[in-house]
This record gives sequence, C-alpha cells and structure tokens, in this order.
Amino acid sequence: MNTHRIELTINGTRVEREVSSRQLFIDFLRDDLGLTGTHAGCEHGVCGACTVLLDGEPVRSCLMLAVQAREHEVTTVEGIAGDGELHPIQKAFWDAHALQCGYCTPGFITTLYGVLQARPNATDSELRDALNGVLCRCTGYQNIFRAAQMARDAAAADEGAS
Amino acid sequence: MKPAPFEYHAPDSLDGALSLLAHADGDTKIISGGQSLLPLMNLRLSRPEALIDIERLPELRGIRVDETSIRIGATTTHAQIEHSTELAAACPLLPVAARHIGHAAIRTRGTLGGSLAHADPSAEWPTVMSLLDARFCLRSEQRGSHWVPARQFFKTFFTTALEPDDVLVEIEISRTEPGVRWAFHEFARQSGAFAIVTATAIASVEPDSTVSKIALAVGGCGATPRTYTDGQLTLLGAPLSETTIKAAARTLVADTDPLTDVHATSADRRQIVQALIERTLRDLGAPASTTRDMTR
Repeated sequence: MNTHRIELTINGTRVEREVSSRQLFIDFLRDDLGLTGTHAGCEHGVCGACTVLLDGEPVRSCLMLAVQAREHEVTTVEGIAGDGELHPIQKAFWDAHALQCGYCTPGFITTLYGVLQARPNATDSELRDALNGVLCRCTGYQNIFRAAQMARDAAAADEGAS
Repeated sequence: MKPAPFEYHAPDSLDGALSLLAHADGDTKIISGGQSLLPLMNLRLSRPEALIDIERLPELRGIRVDETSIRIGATTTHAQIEHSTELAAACPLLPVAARHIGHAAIRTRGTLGGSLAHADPSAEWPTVMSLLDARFCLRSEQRGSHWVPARQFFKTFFTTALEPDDVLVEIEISRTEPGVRWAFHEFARQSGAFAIVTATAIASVEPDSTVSKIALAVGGCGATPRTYTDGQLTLLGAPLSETTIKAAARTLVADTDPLTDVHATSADRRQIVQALIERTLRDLGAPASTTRDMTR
C-alpha cells in the first residue's frame, strides 16, 4: 500500500489528508499543511530543529512517517503563539536575544513549551536537559538558557497565581 | 534526504504482522518508533521495499512486574521505561539507563525492542540486558515463540539471532534479591550523544562488604556487549578495594577489542572504559547504590 488516508489534530484543528507511505511527517506539515515553522535541519534526528509535540511529548518530525502520526494530537510552533500575540516563551526569546538566524528557534520553543506545560516549575537542571535536545550554531546557547529561565519564571508565576 | 519508495503496512494484530513478514516478497523491515531505522532510510543506507508497523499492537506494549520477574513488551518506549515508577522500585538501573538514551524526543518514540533488534554494540539496552541476563521472546508464523538469552542474542555489529521472519515480542528479566547494588556509567561527547563506551554492573555485597556475586557488562568495546561474571572478575569473597578494583579493570580492558572509528580510537576507548569500569566497581562498594554520568 503506497497511499493512506489519515486523520489527526494539528494545533487544535482536525485535519484529514491522503499521504504517501514514504512521506515524512515534517514534509507533511510543511508541504501539505503549509506549516513551515517547523524546520528540517539534519533529517536524521540529531539537530532538533524539526521537534514538534505529539500528544504533548517532544518528537522528531523528521523521524516519523506522516502515516504514523494518524489519530494523534500535534502541536507545532504555530500552535504556541497566541492570536497576534507572542507567547511568553517567544517573548522571553525576544527579550533575552536568544535567536539570531532563527533556524533552530522553533525546535527550542516547541521543546520548552512541552516541558513547561508538564512542569511549570522545572528546575534549571531540567531546563538544561530539555535544551540539550536542540542544536544552535549561532548563539552559543547562553541566551537561550536565559530565555528558558525567564519563560519558566513566568510559567511558575502563572501557576502560583492560579 | 528522503527515504526511497516503499509499501507501508499497519496490521491490527501480531499474527497479521507475522504473516505479512513470513510471506514478504522483497526486503521487508519491522518498524515501531523508527528512531534507528528512519535515519538509515532517510540517508538511504537502508532501502526496504516494505515496512510492517507494529507500534500500535497492544500485545507488544506494557510493563508487568511481579515477585519473580519483570516483563516488558518490545514496543515499550524508552520514555515509558524512564518514567515507570514500577521499574524505579523493582529495577532502578532500567529507568537510569533509559535516561541516557539520546534526547527526550528520541525517547518518546524509540523502543526497547527496536534498540535490541538494531544491535548497535554501543547502545545502552544491549549492554544492560546482557548484564541482567535477560531473555527475549522471538516469534514467527512458522516456528511460534521461543526464548533466547540476551547473552546469546547479539552475534556481531547490527546482527542478532532474529531470523528474517521473526519479531522480538517481549523482554523478561528475573528480579534481583533486595539489596543487590547496581551502577551505570556511560561516556559520550555530549549529554545525549551516542555512547562511546558504557560500563554497568550489579553485585551482591555481604554485610561485611565481601562480594558474593557480581556481573559487569561493557558496551562499545567490540562487536557485541561483553559480560563478565563472578569468577572472571576475581572480585569474589573479598571487599572491593582500590587495589582489586584497579586490577580487575586492567584485566577486563585487556580482553576488550574496541575499534577505531570517527568517534574515538581503540586506545581512547580502552582508556575511557578502564576508568568507567573503576568508577562502576567503586560505586558497588559504596554504601548506597549511585550512578554518575561523565557528561554532566
């Protein structure tokens, strides 16, 4: 069988499409759905630029077939931004100057979003562990870590306030 | 890069998968998480004509712990093992080893069975399962189920006892007695990068500190993990001391046959694994079981 009809939820929207067996999930997101926020870096799972959330957990979209994503709930970086407003994680990246070319940035933001959804009070060590999974060639990581701390502090404050 | 064309099948039963595999025309591979297979396919180092996806088969998932054994379904993910409170209680080495595998995104999809079937001698699971003397259940349409000990499963690089029509379905480990100590040390260039060498051990240590039973396994130092037990380790019947630890590490390293590759030379691997073996044995002698990771 070379084509498959799949149904899944992307950023809260139900989507139904026909995909070919060999189509990678990242290419389905970018080419079929026009969600080009997720980036293809190495295409073998090492760089993390392609990271999306599958039922809230981080996955490498370059190491999934589109057909394997059926019936899952997927969050891409496009699903993290508010309507015309930066999410606190994105604002933290802005404020901390945590991006230059921006190629790795969706990978970091999506990863952090997943971590802070599950653990708004994530420790610095847990943040470093999470950030480990994405490579950056531009920034040297220090500002990315600062942005992660700022985002965590904002999330923890929110959690404390609610 | 993108994979070459192939057919994709997702049968809804294990029997269905075994039948497809048994009657496959061309080169057919089993896939679950795909964290080892898809990189190979994306780089076109592997071009199977068909994939049989076993990820959603309920028969292959699940962690079951009872008084005598731990049974883990082959498609259980590294993340599930890492976060299992049952395993943290019954065999804490397993969640700790799981945490060393790649990054969280890899662990969400990658599976225990996939790692074992892939048989990279540097990977964590082949080494840990060899240490624990685990047994693997292989199943085929023609021959039914049979069990293979981990220590006989790995033949050479990326080669196992799996026949072309076999599927690895379950992993079984015997529970250790309470008070058995364990240690795990892995060296990688960065946290989450591929392990270069690994040393892991379990031991029964008497109240007077003498070692009554011990096993140690080394990964990344040959075509398969290497396991050493009791008599081979010259550590039984006495407390662990710096002298005996250093002597044991020296002897073991002389037996290893690490290759030189892009990650490290043979000499580097020997030197690093000798240090890891010493740290592992020192941990066994410590009052509480500990593990440290060189990359942190």
